[in-house]
Amino acid sequence: MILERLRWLTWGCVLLFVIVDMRLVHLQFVARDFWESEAIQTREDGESVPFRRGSIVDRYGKWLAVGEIEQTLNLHYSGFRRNTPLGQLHAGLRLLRDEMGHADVVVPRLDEMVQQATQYAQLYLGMTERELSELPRRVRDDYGYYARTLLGMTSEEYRAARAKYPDDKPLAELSADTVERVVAQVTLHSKALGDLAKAIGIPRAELLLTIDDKIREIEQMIADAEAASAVPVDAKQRLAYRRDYENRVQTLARGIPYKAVFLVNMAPERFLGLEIHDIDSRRYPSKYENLAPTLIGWVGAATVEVCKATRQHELRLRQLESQPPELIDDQMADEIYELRERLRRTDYLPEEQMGREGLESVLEPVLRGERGYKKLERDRMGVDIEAMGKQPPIDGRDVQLTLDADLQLAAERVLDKLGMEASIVLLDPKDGAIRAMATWPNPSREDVTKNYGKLVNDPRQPLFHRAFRLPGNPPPPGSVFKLIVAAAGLESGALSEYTPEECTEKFPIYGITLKCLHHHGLIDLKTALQKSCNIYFYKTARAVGLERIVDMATRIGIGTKYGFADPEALGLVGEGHAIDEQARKLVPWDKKRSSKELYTMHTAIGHGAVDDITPLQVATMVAPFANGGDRVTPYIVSRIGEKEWPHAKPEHIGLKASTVDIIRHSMIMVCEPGGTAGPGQNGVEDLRPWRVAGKTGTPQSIDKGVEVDHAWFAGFFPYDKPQLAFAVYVAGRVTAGGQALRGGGRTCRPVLHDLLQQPELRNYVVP
Amino acid sequence: MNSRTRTHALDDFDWHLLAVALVLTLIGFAFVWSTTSGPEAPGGLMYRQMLYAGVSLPLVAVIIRIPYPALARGIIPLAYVIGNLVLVFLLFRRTDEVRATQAFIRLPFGFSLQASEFVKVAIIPTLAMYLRHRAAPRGLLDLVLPTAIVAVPAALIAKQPDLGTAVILVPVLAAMLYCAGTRLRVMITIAVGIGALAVAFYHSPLMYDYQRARIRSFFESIPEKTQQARELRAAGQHEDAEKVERGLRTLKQGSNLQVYHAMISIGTGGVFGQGIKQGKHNQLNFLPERHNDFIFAVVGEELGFIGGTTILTLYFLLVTLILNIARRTRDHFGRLICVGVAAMFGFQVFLNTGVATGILPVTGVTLPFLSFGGSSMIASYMALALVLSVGAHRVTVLDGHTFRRGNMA
Repeated sequence: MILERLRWLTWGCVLLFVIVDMRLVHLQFVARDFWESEAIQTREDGESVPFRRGSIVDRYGKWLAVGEIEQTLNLHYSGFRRNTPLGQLHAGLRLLRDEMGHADVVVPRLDEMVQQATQYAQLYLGMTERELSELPRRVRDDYGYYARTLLGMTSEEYRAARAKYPDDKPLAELSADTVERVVAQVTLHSKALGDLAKAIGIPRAELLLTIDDKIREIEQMIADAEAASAVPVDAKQRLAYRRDYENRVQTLARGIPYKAVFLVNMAPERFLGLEIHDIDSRRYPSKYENLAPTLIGWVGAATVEVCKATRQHELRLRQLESQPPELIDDQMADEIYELRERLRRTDYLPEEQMGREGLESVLEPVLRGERGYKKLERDRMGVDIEAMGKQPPIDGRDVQLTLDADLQLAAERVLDKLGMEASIVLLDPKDGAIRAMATWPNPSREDVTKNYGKLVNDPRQPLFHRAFRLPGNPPPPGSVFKLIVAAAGLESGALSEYTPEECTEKFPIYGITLKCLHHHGLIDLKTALQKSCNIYFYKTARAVGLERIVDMATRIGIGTKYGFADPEALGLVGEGHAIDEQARKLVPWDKKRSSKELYTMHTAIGHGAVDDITPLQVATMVAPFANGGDRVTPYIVSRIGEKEWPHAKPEHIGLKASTVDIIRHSMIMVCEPGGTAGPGQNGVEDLRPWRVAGKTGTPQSIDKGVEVDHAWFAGFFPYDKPQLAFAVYVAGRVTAGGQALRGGGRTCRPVLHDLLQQPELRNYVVP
Repeated sequence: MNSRTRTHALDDFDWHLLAVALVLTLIGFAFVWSTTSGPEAPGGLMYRQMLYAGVSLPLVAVIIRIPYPALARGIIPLAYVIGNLVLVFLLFRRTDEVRATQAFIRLPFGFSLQASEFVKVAIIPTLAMYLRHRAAPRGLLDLVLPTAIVAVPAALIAKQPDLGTAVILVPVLAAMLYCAGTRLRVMITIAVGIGALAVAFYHSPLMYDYQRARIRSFFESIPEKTQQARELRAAGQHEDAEKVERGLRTLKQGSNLQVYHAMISIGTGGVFGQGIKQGKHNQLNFLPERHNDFIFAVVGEELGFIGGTTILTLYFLLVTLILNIARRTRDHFGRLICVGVAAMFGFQVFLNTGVATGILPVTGVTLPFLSFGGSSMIASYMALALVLSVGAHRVTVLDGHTFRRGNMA
């Protein structure tokens, strides 16, 4: 019987063995995937690696905006609160105040806390077991945690120590040197922070105060969240808010030096709760820092909209991932993969920067790279152990502009000196590459980033770059447009170089009298252009015809969208039929056959069908006369990354060489004695040494109900081998002192003259 | 009573049994090293474990030289009584120990002694002594005294609180009574009684809340709940899902944290494991007590299914070899010792691996020979030495049992 029973025992043993082994089979084969994923969830964590934002350089490779990776020092408050002596002291005192009704205990600033550690430690550890036991469980647990960690005890040691003492004795008497231990810990930690502050280059007190401020900010955010809640907040909800906000990372200092990075990374256990993070940052080199901020643009915090998109992706991903695995089909799996990748690499994070204005904003898709991803393995305490896999970030692509930074600086300097609402555009007449685009008022970079709101409300509208985006009603081209009318006439044969017309200063027609500035007498085309005679063009316009003028304007590029502003001023009010419509609307004084004729005449001197033009368009308009008749498209980006960025090539528009020659010649005559920009006429500046060819314009438009004159001067130089096409625009504005401008030649010529004298122009002018 | 014993030389010494124990000890060294060594301590606690083994083996040599019936004459009852007194002393001592349990006696040089491990070993021969000359227990009344022999120290140990060790004593008692010839009917009655007692104990104030929580959580499966939460989320019942997820969180925290991480460890082991010292979960410090009560989880992670099964097979071999000695010996006393020790090892292994794999509620028992710990190691070797001694000393016994029908081999 015994032997049989022994055998049964053996069988029992077999049974136990099989049970455990079957369980092993289940864990290691059947449910393996589940446990693998649990393992990954518990110990793996990802961290994004920032990309470097693409830099912006000028045509010679000078840095205008530099993308860099910099290190920031961040505060992780829950880590700070739980793991560092100062944080524990702070949190414990806050508990005293909040939960225990010690209203008199105001949470002191961290700096003060370090200085008076003994006093605060006594205050903090003054609680007795009895008092503690009356508190809510969570508070008691927190308090116990802070106290024992601060005392450097394990939970068992703490419990054992507590068990020995009567309930009505304060914690400070747990052992003889309790307070000394706390003070020693706080002092040690404060020394660590002192070292860090020194490495960063700020006083310790400042670092402590910054941390304190951030903690206060967090407290405030929690309070705000509670206040904003529609329903009364219970303890659990409060805890949830607290956890949410305390886990957010707060930036304490940006661009911290390598010494500090080294210090923290070598001994992270000294700086628990403080973390070093890489982040991409934008630097504008000091020389070109204030170079056309409204053109280059600036970066700022990611907008609410893009952050909202990120959030939506997160929610969608969470929704998809919570589906039971068997319900996930291929399409959903693809979506999950895609969302994960997007969130990991491209979606905007709230702490990221994005281009907010100007080229930084327009080129955002190019300048922005893709974040990398670092898989981290963490141990039970959440300390990073090692990077397991790394997906390197893709840096943003560098952008090279056609801009000549020094030329741009010169133009801005000239406009600063002028001090009037104005713009200068300089472009290469051969292909339309923009060399400089200056505007005034030109806010500094500091202004646009710090006083943005003020600039928005500034009546002078300094945020508008006037080369391509004019506030209010853009001006018509005025007399500059006569070049186009002449070209249209010459091309169609309606005009020739020698077509004579007489200017008698007054030209009555259809019951109204059109006027000219002077009595020019009998003149030919070139002289008419040189002296900008209105009546000559009124008279010849009828022969040329509105259609031909508009056609020529269109061929030369007026009315083409270049994509520099939105909405972009077109220059033309419309095409074909639309112009007739406009004509009827704009010239209401004769509703019969005469209206179109008057409208044509109006157009011939740069009003009417041509309106709302920008300096950039004017510079583009004169470029064909500089390059021999090819229409150009202005462009500013020459390279993106390694690649030459394609731009529209100059396009031959079938202008006869003779037409171009005649107009070119008349344009240089403008700057000779007798021309509207010639010496002695409207001023003393002589543009002849630089062989400038140009055309002035003085269009009228309505500003705040008052008719004002704008001033234009457009052309190119040097005459024989044109290097730059230019447009100078000075806006007419109603000022307190009345109308300030007196014609394109008088106002714009000194500006150009000044510009030509700048040393940066050496490369572009023939001495 | 009227027995005549004659002992022989160590000609029947069971080398195989000792070899199995030694192999397990060696594997134990490897895993103690794997779980406790770090940059500051290249050997970890392995050297201490070696020291414990080094103390144990001479002890084995001494014990097997003593003819085991001689032990019964004085040492065993003495050890039993002293053991119980120590347990009582421990209960009333005001402890300042690190561990929450009061099981440890502090020794110089940072060593400590876990009395319950030794008491556990002392109970077996004591019970065998009681049962050896008696006729097979027939009724319940016959069982009162043997049960008391186990129940008194078991209760003291349970109160320490070291529920695991106390629980092991139950199958030891059962197995020994079974082999002492107790009627099956009586055994079943007792089993039911124990069940009822367990339920009563569960609800009695003797049980701590955390122990109750451990037992409760054992009935809930993490993968199932995860699935359930997902389904609820998919169905849009977010509130219910929230509730399940909250439950899920408690299954991964507090008293369940160890089991959760143990299951992750084992679950990620696969067929061959990740290699000794390569287990991610082990090396990243996720498993508390992993060099001790949860060493099997590390075996599962680092040596995989093959390793786990090998360890289990070795233990099965150990128990079978012990039962083999029980079969070979003709001495009822020796036989009962063997059965007791076999039951102790077998059930202790089942309890430990069952906890690590999540099929049993958390009870802190060691894996004999493998887990780190001097008391466990020395006590296990002492128990083994008793068995080896039974196997080595052929005792010719002439007592009532010898002549009972069916007992003549």
